[in-house]
Order: sequence, then C-alpha cells, then structure tokens
Amino acid sequence: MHPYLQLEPYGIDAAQKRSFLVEELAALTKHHAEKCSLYANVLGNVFDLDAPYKVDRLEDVPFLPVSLFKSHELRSITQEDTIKVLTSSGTTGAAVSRVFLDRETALLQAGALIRIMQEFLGKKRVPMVVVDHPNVIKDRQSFSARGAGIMGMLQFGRKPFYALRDDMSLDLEGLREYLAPHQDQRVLFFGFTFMVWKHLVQPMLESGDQIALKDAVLVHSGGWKKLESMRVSKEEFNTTVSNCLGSCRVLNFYGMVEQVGSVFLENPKGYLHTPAFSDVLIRDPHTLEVLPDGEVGLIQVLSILPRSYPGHSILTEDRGRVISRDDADLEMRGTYFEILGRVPRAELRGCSDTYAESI
Amino acid sequence: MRKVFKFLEEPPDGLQVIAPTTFELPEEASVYAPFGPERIEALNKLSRAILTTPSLRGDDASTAFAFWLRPGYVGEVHRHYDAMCERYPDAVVQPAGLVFHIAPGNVDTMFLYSWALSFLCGNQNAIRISRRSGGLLADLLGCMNTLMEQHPWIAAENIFCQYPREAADITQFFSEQCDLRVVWGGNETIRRIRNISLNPHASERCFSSKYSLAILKVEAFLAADAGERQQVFEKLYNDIYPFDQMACSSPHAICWVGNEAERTKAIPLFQDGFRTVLEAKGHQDSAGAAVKRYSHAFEMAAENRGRVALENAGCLHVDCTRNELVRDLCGGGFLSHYAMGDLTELAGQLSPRDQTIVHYGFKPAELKAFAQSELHRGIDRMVPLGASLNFHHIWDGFDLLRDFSRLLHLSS
Repeated sequence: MHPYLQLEPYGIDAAQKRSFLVEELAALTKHHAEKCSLYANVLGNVFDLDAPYKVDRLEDVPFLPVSLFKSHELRSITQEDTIKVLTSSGTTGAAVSRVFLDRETALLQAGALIRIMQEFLGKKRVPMVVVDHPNVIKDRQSFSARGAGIMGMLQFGRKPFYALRDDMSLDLEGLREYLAPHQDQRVLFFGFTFMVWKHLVQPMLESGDQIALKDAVLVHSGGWKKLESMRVSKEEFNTTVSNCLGSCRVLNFYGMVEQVGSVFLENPKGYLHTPAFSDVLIRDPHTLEVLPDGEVGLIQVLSILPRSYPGHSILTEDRGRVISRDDADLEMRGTYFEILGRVPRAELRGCSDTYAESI
Repeated sequence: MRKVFKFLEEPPDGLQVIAPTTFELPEEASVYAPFGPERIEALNKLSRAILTTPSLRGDDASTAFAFWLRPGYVGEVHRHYDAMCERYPDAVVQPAGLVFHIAPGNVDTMFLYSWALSFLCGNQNAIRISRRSGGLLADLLGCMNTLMEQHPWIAAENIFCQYPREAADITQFFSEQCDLRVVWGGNETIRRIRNISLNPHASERCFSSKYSLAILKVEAFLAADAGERQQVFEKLYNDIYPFDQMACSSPHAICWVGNEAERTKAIPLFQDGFRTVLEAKGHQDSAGAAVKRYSHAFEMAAENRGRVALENAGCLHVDCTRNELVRDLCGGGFLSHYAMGDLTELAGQLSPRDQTIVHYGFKPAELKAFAQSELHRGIDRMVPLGASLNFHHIWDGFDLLRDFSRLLHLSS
C-alpha cells in the first residue's frame, strides 16, 4: 500500500498533519511545474514562483481556480499514461472539467476513498442500493461525476441494486424484493442528494410506502442547491429519509471530480471533516488572503494525492468556513468545516445579446 | 392628422405593450414636423419626469439620459440635423417612416437615445424591450406613459413592448411593417434577426458586438500632477464601471504608449492610484465578479499572455507580456495592460470589432493622424477619458440622423 494510504484518516492532529502536508504539497508543486507547462506558466505569472519552486508554508502553496480545469487541459502525464478521464457534471452546453488520471493516481483515489469510507461503514461489504439507473456507468473510459461517484462507492457494496429504471422511475417492488433478506442488517444507500429526494423519497411519500430497515446508511452528495430551491432543509431531508427507510443514518459527502483525495464526510456534529490526506483553507474572494477560522470565504481544497494532473491545490467557487479542529469531544482529529453554497455567478449587464438571453 | 397605431387595435398574440397602456387612445392624432417645437418640448418634459422620479434620479445612466433630453443638448443635435438638410439641396428630408428598434439585453438606457433621435426625426417607432430588463427601465417607461397620457399624439406613433425571444412571428410582424429595422444587442442577436425576413422596402442598421480600449500616453501621465492624475483615475472609473464594464464602449484594455523605461514606472503608479480611487468611491464589488476576474486572469497566465497581481478589490490588472491585442472581454473591473512604443503598433491590429478608443495625453494632431491613417481598419470613435459612454448621433460609423431620415429627391 502507498505510504499515504497507511495514514489513519482521522487520527492525525491538525498541526502534525499540516507539517507533512506542506512538505508533500511543496513537492507536488515542483513535480507538476516540471511536468505541466500550463501550470508552470501560472506559477510564474501569478505567484512569482519559478524554479526551483520552493514553498514553505501551507498558505503559500499556489492554487488554481477550479474553472481552469474547464478551460484548459491540465495534465502532468503523457497521453499514453492516461487511463481515465473524469469529467464534472455540467448543464448542457456549459464547459465541463476534465481530470486526467494515470494508474498511480487512480489507485490513490480508490485507496483514499476506501480508507475514508471504512471509517464510517466498517470493513465488511454490505448490501447496497444505488439511487440511480445502471446505464449511468456503462462507459468505463469516460465517467461523468455521477458515474465516477457511483463507481467509487460500488466497492463498498455487495451485489448492488439500482433502484431506478432508465426513465428515472422508482422500482419499488424490485427494491423490496432486494431488501427482504436484509431487513436486520446494515444496508448502504448511495445517491445524489437531489435524486434521492426526487426519485426515491418523493415517490415513496406520494404512495405512502415505507421500508422498515434496522440499520441503513445513506451516503449522499451533490449539494443542497436544488433542495434549497424546493425549500427542503437538511434536517427535513434527514428525518424524511429516515422515515422512509426505517432507521437510517444519513451522511452528507462533499467531494469534487477536480480533486482526488478530497472526500469530506459529515462528522457526528454534522460538519464536513478533512481526512489525513487533505485540508482546507478559506480565502477572501477579493484579496485572496487566507481568512481566520470562522470567517466565510472561498474554500480552497488541498490534497496530496493528485500526481497525474496539477490539482493538489484548488480554489473552489464554494463559500464556507472552518468550524474548528481536533475537538476533544470528537474522536476524529483534523479540521472540519461547513459549506454555505456557491458564490452567485456574476450576471454582468452589458450591450450583449438581446436574444441570447435566458428567460 | 394620422390614424393611431394599428398595432394597438389588434396586437399579435404574445405581444405585451408596456407603453402606452394607462389610458384610452384617440382615433387619430396630430403629426408634427421633425425637430418641431412639440417634439423638443416633449423630450424636455420627459427629462423633467425622469429627474423627479426618485429611483431614476439616483441612477447615473438615467440622469445622463435625462440631461441629454434637455433643449440644450437636443438643440445641438438639431443644428446637425439642419446642417444635414442643407447638405442635400436637391432633396427634401423626410422621416424614414416606421422604425422597429430591437433593444439590447441589459443596458437599460443606451437604446433610448436611438429612440429619442428617431422620435426627433419624426418617425413612428416600435421598440422591443428585452424581457431581462430591470426595474429602472420599468420606471423610465412609467415616465413615458405619463408623457403619452398628456400628449396622445406621442402614444399614436410610439409603442414600447416586450415578447419572448422565441416569438419570431412577432419580430416577423414588425419586420414586415417597418421601413427601418435597428438591432442593438450583439452578434448573436443580429444573426438570429437576419434570419427573419425584412420588408423589401426597408433597410436595416445593426450594432454588432464591439471591443473598446483606452490609450494613455506614458510621458503625459508621468508629467501630470497629483490633481490631474486623480482626474485621470476618476474619468477612467466612469468609463469602466457603469454597466459592469460590459457596454460596447467600455474600455477593457489600456495601451501604454511611450518608451519602455518610463512605462515600467507608469503602470505600477497607475495601479496604486486606481485602487485608491476605487476605495474612495466605496466601490461595491461582488464575490461573483471577483471570481470571474481572477478565473479569467488565470487563463491568461496559463497561456503565458500576461502577469497577474492577485490584488483583486474591484479591479484586476494583467500586464500583458506581448503587445498583440487579444480582446479579453471579462468585465466587472478587469484591465489588460499593453505596452506599445507608438500608436502605429496598435493601428496595425485594429479591426471592425473595435469601437471606442478613449484617449489621454495625445495632441489633437496625433489623434487626427491616427484616425486618418487607420480608420479603414476599425475604430468608430475616439473620445477623451470619461466620455466612453456618452451617446452621439454618429455611432459605430453611422450617422443615425441620416439613418432615421429618407431623402426625397426634388428637382423643380
């Protein structure tokens, strides 16, 4: 196993973690600068950082805005070594991020996910319900974020069941049949937040159906934006899911295609917890200075895993704040934070197109 | 007398009339001559109505429009109109007829100038307003409704309306009726509209997407005292920030013209001074605009097109490494700085996409020589700092007074 993956995901104090993160991230900065010319250009032109690319503090690790993975192909490996290209989900027509993985980084990605999920789910594979339809993972060379998320989670499940049909309708009978032998065992559910609500929970609410599981765990990700627009709060989501499935632990999950290793799951206090291989900084959107704990700004994610592309330090367009770190009353060490939604896109006025408007 | 707009009797399905709406129209109404006193007084009244509406009085673009409508400015345009008439001794200058204006998405006031000119020239006007338009435009059209109520003849010849962009049949309807179609709003709009056939007798004027920039003479900037430099910053602020730097005439780049040693002194001085002005003005910067700016700057940096200072409070500066103009249209407070030894370096790169140059520090003779030698390659306007958004009847290379008129050749 790669030495990184031997780290205990939530067993390292923030300060201790920080010192080895700096070392590893500095090495990655140098590695990518030497392998990816676009990245080296950014270092020189934005951060005044030229060979030998020396970085001393976590705050000084250069970052790329997440949008740069949409506009440019950033890779530190050759075409031949690329075994997988991940793409972000995007609305039709909008540019998507492309992330290039080689064998090493793909293994690190899978390994990190295993280490993190085992902390929450245990080491045993359990029956698993995917709240999606099976066609979403058909193409194994190129995955959407949705497909990649499912592929990543499948390794924790046994004989997965896809709860949705191709037309996104809920196969409730099939689901009941699948769950029948496992009523008293742990069952893992995985899906995207909005899809879980719209295609699992809502149909069950409408038909009045319930499933009585004793030990279900729902891992969901994808953000709250759509649910917020439907005025569904996190609390309402969690209780309603529990009511539908019997007893269900609901775990929110924040991650992004653009950064391998940044997998953040909710800790018992309901905040997102950074694992050993990654950390977050919060930056002021205007000055890009690092903000103190508790202040709201843009979330910068740092991970020591991306080796095939320069995604070890990314400034997201998500707003959030660091809550605390290494709490005595938590078994989990490290920094934890919360997300407060995406920065509203700037709708600049202008003499621009009358007819290109969206209505 | 003329019959009141037939559109109002049987409007096409989906057409929403914004003005006139608040009263019953007469059957027929008087027609007044181009630049007749009734027309000039009507605009003066509109001006007063705008200036006494609190929401509009607080809006720079609306008050600028209101000032432009006053007899002083209109008198200036009137003189140009008379001069035009005199240029055609063998013709009678008539209104073009029915002018169909398609207004741009979000610059609430720009197209109103074109309406006002067309109105002064004696035309009937049908104006399609973007459905994206904001509350200020609603207030402006509220003033228009009041004016129409007082002067039904204005209601009889002007209609402001909205309809969904999908309703090509309504665009078709107006395009068949009109004598002139005026399209504000950029390349994509123009492409769409051109697919909709136009009455064979009508002509068309389109205002395409444009790029604008500033030229600053390094030695003049360095020689300026503190007070004058302050003026430079404030004027540029007014050029850049209205309409989020996305009006067609908002400058996106500064070309520093002069020798290299002095240039390296001027640019940091400029950036520091400009930041101070942003602070002094209490410039409100949104996080979204900040993200957009640095995202754009990182793209330029990745392509090795410029060096970026991440200081991002309201304006982001990129020092472009090469002097090839790339025409980055980021907006929201983004300036690309280019270095040029002299104006010919710029002139060789200008294209029909380029509209306005705001200038500082050049002698009139230098500007004239530049304009005369290079006009054919692009550039429609050269105006001093602070005047980028000022409307003029000569726009994008065309004299709108001429466009809004028809020449009747008369030989006796």
